Amino acid sequence: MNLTVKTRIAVSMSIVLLMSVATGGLSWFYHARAAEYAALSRAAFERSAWIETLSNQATTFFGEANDLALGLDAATTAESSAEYGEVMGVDNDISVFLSRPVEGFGEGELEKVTGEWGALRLAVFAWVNEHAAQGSLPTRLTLNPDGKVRASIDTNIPMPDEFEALDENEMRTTVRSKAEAFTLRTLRGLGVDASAEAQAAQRLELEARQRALTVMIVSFMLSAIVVLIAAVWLYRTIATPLNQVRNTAERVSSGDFELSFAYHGDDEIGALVHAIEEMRDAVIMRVKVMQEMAGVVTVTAESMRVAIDHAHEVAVADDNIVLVEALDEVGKRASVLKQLASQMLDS
Amino acid sequence: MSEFYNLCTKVSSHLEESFSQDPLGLIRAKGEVATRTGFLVSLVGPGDPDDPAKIRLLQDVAKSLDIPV
Repeated sequence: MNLTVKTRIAVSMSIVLLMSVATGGLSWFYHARAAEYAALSRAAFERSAWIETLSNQATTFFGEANDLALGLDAATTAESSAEYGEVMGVDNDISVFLSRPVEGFGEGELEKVTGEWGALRLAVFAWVNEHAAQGSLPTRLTLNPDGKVRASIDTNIPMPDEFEALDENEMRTTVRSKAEAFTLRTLRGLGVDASAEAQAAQRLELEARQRALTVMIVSFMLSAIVVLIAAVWLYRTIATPLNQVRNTAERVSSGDFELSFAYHGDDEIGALVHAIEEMRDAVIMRVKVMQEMAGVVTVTAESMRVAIDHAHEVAVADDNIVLVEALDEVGKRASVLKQLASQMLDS
Repeated sequence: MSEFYNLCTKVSSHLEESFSQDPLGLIRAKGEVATRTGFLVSLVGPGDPDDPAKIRLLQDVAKSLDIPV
């Protein structure tokens, strides 16, 4: 394949550029995937922590309500008010906490949590109020239309229909059943799911990061090999012929005119070689012309010298002083001319 | 290539072979030819037209210098 120097450089640079773009693109892709999995992992861990906090708060609520229900029979009004307040405080905390759900829940999961929590607190309030009624205390727990609980002095609060016909044991069983259903089945199930999702996302993130690292290392090595091959190719097809041309040109400049250039490519270097060969041929021709001219001068000077010597003898014999002096002067110039020709040839 | 150029090349080649060990002798011989013919054989190129007078003159000079042409 006979490519020009410009094309060779362009091809090499293009390959290196493509390798760089491919390396960067693949690394960016896997880093993006890793970041995506990391975000999923963070969301799952956050959801898991949220569920754990809610579970603790619900357990506290249930404990407080249980203590209140069991203590109402013998409690004084003042003690009962304080305990009502504790239950309402925990209930309020949970209400506030539920209003700030984290992202990452599946469809309907959050509504299920809220619904089961509502059912649990309703059962607890009914159970507490039942005990308050049995102890003839003037305070009850009631729900506002906005869903918030408050202590009420209204002792004529109706029981929900589903609890109306239950006796104490059945109501206790129902309350415990709802508490267990909420904390054990619902929250723990969600927590286990979140934990599994977080671990899976972490594993995927790690795999993506390792893949990104592998891609980077492999791409770097491939790029290095490609760059090396391109450099060797450029060196062998550009630098080596140029060095040969330079060496040949130096030998030609030192007078070795018989040398010829080994490079015959049809590219910029070939054009350079052709131009130098033309220059060499022109120099050879001029040197030959110069040598021939020097030969002409030498032969002419020698002929003049012979003629002048002969004329000088005749002039001396005729005692022609003026002619002798003139011939001496011309003879000197002929000698100088010959010396100059010799110097030119020696140079 | 013209006959004139071929003749010049033959003369040059013969002189260069004859005086391959005597550079000054070669120069002197080429100068002798140039002085007698009135032109430089080195300057004659393949594209130069044939000049019968110059060809004859160069043949005579070559013969007088024992150059086979």
